[in-house]
Amino acid sequence: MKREKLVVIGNGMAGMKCVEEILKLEPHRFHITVFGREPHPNYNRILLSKVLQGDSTIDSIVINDWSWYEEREIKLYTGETVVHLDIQARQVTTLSGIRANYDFLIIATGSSAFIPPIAGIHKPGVIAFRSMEDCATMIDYSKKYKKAAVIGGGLLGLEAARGLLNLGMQTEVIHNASYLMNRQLDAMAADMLRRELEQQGMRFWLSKETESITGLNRAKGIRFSNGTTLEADLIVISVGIRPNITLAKESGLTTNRAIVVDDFMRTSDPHIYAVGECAEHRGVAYGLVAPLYEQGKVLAGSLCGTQAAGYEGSVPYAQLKVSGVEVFSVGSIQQGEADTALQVYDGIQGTYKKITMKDGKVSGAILFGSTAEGTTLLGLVKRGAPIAELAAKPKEDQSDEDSIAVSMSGHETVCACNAVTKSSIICAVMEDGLQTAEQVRDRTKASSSCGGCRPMVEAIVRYALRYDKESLAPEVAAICSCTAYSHDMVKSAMKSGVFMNIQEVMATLGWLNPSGCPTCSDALAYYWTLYYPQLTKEASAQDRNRDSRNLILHVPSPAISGFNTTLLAKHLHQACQYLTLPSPVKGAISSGIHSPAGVLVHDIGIAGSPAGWEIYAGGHAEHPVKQGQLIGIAESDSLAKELAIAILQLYREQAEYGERVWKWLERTSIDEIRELVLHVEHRMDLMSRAEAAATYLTSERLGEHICSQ
Amino acid sequence: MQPIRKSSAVKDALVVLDTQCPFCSVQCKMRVVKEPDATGANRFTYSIEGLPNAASEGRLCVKGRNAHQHAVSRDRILQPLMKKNGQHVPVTWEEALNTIASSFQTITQAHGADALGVYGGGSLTNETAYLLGKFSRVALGTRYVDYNGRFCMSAAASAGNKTFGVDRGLTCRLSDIPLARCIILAGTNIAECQPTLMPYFTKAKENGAIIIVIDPRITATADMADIHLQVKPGTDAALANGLLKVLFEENLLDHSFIANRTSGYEQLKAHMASVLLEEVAELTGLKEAIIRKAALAYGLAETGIIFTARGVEQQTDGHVAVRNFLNMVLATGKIGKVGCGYGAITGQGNGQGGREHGQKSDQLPGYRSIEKEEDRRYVAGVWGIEPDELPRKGVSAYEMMEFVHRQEIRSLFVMGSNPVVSNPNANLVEEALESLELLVVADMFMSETARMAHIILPITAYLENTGTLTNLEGRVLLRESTAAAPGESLHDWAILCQLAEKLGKQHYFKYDSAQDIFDELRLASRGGLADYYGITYERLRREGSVYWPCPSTDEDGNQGMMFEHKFAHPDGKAIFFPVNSKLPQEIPDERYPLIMTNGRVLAHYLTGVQTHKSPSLAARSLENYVEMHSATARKHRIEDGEWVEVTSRRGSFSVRSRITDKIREDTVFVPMHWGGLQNVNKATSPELDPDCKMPGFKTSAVHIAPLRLKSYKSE
Repeated sequence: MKREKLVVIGNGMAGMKCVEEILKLEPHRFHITVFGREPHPNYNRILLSKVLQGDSTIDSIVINDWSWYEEREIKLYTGETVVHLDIQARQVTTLSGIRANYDFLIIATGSSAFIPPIAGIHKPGVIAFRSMEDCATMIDYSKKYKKAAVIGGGLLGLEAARGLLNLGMQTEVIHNASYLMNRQLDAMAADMLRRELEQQGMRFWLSKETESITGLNRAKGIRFSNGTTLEADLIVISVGIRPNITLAKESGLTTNRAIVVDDFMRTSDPHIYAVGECAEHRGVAYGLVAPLYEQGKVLAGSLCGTQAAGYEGSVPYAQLKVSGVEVFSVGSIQQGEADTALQVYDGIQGTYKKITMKDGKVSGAILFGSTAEGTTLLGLVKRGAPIAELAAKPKEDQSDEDSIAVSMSGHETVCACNAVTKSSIICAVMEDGLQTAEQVRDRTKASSSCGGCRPMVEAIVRYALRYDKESLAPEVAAICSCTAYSHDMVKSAMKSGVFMNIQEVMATLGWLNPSGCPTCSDALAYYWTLYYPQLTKEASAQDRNRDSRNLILHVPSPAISGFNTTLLAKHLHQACQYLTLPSPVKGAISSGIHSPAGVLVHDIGIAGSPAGWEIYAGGHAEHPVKQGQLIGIAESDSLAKELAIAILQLYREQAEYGERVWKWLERTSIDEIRELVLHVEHRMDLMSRAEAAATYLTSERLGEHICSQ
Repeated sequence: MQPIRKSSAVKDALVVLDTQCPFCSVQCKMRVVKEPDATGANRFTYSIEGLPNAASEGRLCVKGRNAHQHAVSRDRILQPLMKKNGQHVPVTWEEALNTIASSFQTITQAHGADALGVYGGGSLTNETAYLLGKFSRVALGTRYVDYNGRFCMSAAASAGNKTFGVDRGLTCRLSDIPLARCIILAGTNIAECQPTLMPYFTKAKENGAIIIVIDPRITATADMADIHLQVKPGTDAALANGLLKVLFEENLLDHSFIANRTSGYEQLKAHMASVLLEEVAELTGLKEAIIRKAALAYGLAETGIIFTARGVEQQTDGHVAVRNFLNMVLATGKIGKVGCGYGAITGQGNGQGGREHGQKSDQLPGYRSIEKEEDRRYVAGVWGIEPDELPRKGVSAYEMMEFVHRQEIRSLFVMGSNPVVSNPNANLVEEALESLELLVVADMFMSETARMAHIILPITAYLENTGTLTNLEGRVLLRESTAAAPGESLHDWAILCQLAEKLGKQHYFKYDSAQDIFDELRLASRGGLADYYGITYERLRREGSVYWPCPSTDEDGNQGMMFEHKFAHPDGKAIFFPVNSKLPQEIPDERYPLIMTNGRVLAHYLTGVQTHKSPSLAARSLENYVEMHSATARKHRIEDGEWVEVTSRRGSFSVRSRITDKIREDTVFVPMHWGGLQNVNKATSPELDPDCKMPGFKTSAVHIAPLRLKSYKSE
């Protein structure tokens, strides 16, 4: 079977989502050619406002970079506008004359900003907010001028206005209705939104019709129909979108407001499909991302012949992406469309919630101030859930997940399928500026397999978004007042650099107190034995503490069993007696439950059991009392010894000086420690490093011994 | 000692392997990228990425993400080993194979060919499974070949065959799941066993489906359920009777479907008159109201799918229990159309393909029967032997162990399986295997069974061995493998060919590649129920996967939906089968007051021979445990995390306790992935289902006691 030729007009989010879905289903079925009008690879248009607001860079919103197309053998033409479509010949032609034949064609030309017929609208300084270029223009203008106006107080207009504020421009928003976002909000929510944005510095002109743009060579201001005027150097038009359907219309495809498609996204021509903002399904052309993605999936399925059920339309929802303001809206919320089922206003918290119903089913919702419930409500609306479900589950402000999200420690696993920890999710939100659980899923894979951890991931994302970078970043404390460096920094410097002695370390790292204090001298002396065991004579401070920083083993007389505790203790003692340690380590070895030795409250505990030797670490019998955790099980004496030494060596290398085993364990992930010591090669590495250190330290001791004699 | 320095020479030694995760029946496609690590000390780092395909859609679970670890582990067996003076020592392939061949011949001369047994596995490729069956019958001439899939799929497989006339895991496609309005998950814990399938179910739920989970435990799967029937283990057949009763009472039946597409309805109807819902409630430990609620949800839904897995199937009435769920499917006409159907969720990687091509004692390739003359003639023809030379049917896996115990079988050849851990009544099996004159184990690792072997043959791993596997849907996938075989390990199929040569049967085993074997398999399966004739390697490369049956190479293949117009019985109809509500095989009493059931955990697979060798998977689940309700723990004076001895009439084992409220008070649960002293099968029952010979793993009466109260006996 030869590969079929698939041509996609439009390199935007809908078209590429569809291509991604096709590749998932049938990676080798089509030769794919993509034509894009803009000169970039595919980027996330929704995040343009984030770029403008300075929260993202242009690079970071690229969804598929050039190599993505290459790896998938997709031919990508950027900066090429398709101007002619010949349905009979199944061929498209671009402005520059490139022709391509197709077996199947996807039209994903999206939409353009609607430019209303206002006098002077084509003057320089009047732009739309649709593309990377528009973003660049706005950034450019902000460097030269001070005053900006946005015509249109809808979702996109407000996001543009917030961006202009961030760029340091004085920003006015003109809206023709009596309240903002009048398609998605009611007057109450819109009013709260207006007040919030006014506090951020925006100014509003409501119920105002723009008559003309003033200015001679470039835009200088706006004249309203009532005769008043407003000064502005940059005017951003954001009054709506128009599907790009000229090409389709001229080629003879059936169009209405947009290109008419059936439930399988087919146009009036059997070889041509349309998807996204340029498509009209059951009389609706969508302008939000979720429906476009759903359509993309269905279209991919129809092309690959795996789609059993057609697309049934989407429930559009909107979320305002303006920092500091949380607004969510879904479904029918206008009066006359639906009845109010629930309306809650909290003047103290500044939150507002309204849920609407129709025929006893949840049909829409508005959230202001806190949108945590957005996903749940979206689900209810999508499903057409009976209104009783709202009463059945009175949503608390804090779900169980939310409180767990706060209390769980950073290294705990959230997504078991993909082994993603809480801290990596927080990191994705903090460092990469991700906003939603979906984005976190795409980046970290958390919740991408079975999806069971989805509510937890959502809660952690909410948690991370609530706090700023500083309050969640791990504290980096200096070792002592002699230096600004933390233990980790000093360790990595000593590990990588080549020093001759400790004084050189202090000099190179710019120790404030050149001779150091007992705290840092002891720490440096220990790290010296770790990284320069061959030169350990320098570690004079270490000698003072050596006895207390040894491994001390407690071995009660064994019960009759298959486990020889005395022998294991002897071997361990031989291997470890000269090893320096960050902090004293007490060990206990028991032959089993009938010969208790307190293995669970020692730094290292080893116990015979029906499964073999169990190796525990991190117990502590003093305040704070800690229970040791199982690190591994050994069927043989030699493996038990190996595991214990590997754990000790790992502790030597990873712990800070003075850090007890339990503390190190709490700071590190238990799974990671297990993985390292259970991995044969890593265990061997750890063993050989421990052995090497012991050899040097032993000979040093012996040398000392001889000298003193 | 010199500090390790970065080496610059190894920079571009990057290896990319596109393969399939070996760890369950979804067969998620994935890419393994191997790179020299920064130290350059001949060490490598591996990165794993899911690859898009129609079943897993690019998802992987923790098993897949770490599935390379065991394959590249240092613990792989790299040379043939032979036990000499009680020690396994390396020998040449020549010596190993010669010893096996001459031992086979000696035993055959003294006791007949049926004194040789062959034991396969559900993780072997279709090619190897096929060849193992042929090897047994043609090279050895024995009737005794069976495999561990007997413990996996036999109940559902036989129920599918009896009811529909054919057994293919899913009668519909995975993509039908989101379109079902009601889904029943009976005894299946998808969230831990096939996690990458979960999104199909969450999508269904988002689309408004009601999800019903039948399980004695509140598993991660049950967490998703709208209705959870926390049933007593072993009473699924009774529960299905209750559900059917409500469907009948409320007349939620599809009478035109029943009239046109089924037979046996009158008997079922008569039987239903005798079913009393309160009796069902009593037997299953459920309230009548919730049974009614579940039945109404399924009956009223426009579309629906019922899935079963080991919870229902690994019972001594597993076969009829599945049939009773199929009665529900047929009575409501929910099959053969979009969003409808029945699925048996296979457990093993090639659980589906492994049972179709003749490593089962009563079968020949293409799901043909070894007792049907026509089938014998056809396959004998493909193999170039006389039909009379083909042995007749043998016995099931566990029965083979009993034959070994009775020394009727004197030599056992095991490939890709660990029977001493996976069989019920492990103590007897161990005793049996110890008595063998020759035990040969072909494996990658020193499994519990390999330790007992006289000869161990090192085989290649999934990253090295090419072949096809059939996923739970009945979708055949090609796993192309390019990694070099480590040490002296050989492909499993190549070992069979070489051994055949030593036995003088080389002209029946002339293959240069897995593809050669597959081409013969295509021919052997042609015209059978599981017809692979139309599937070729070329086509699999092009199309990614193809559903069986696929009789023709040029047809576009069926789209995966079965029984749209007719069933596979000669009259085109499906068959109802009345099932009696019964008590479980073993009923708790004063001495053994609790019911023990078993199952999987997320991080492990089968007996753990592979997953325990993966440090990342081992790290996530170090040891076995027994899960029990807090009230049960109180009653038996057991604290959380302490050693507990679990004892049944067969034997006992010791594991740590795990106390939870997510299980019935009368039930305890033990995972099945550990051997040795922690092997749950020391206590499971060897009683077999009379219809399909599935052991009743999932229901054993046990007694539990804290180990600390038991005094050590010096021995």
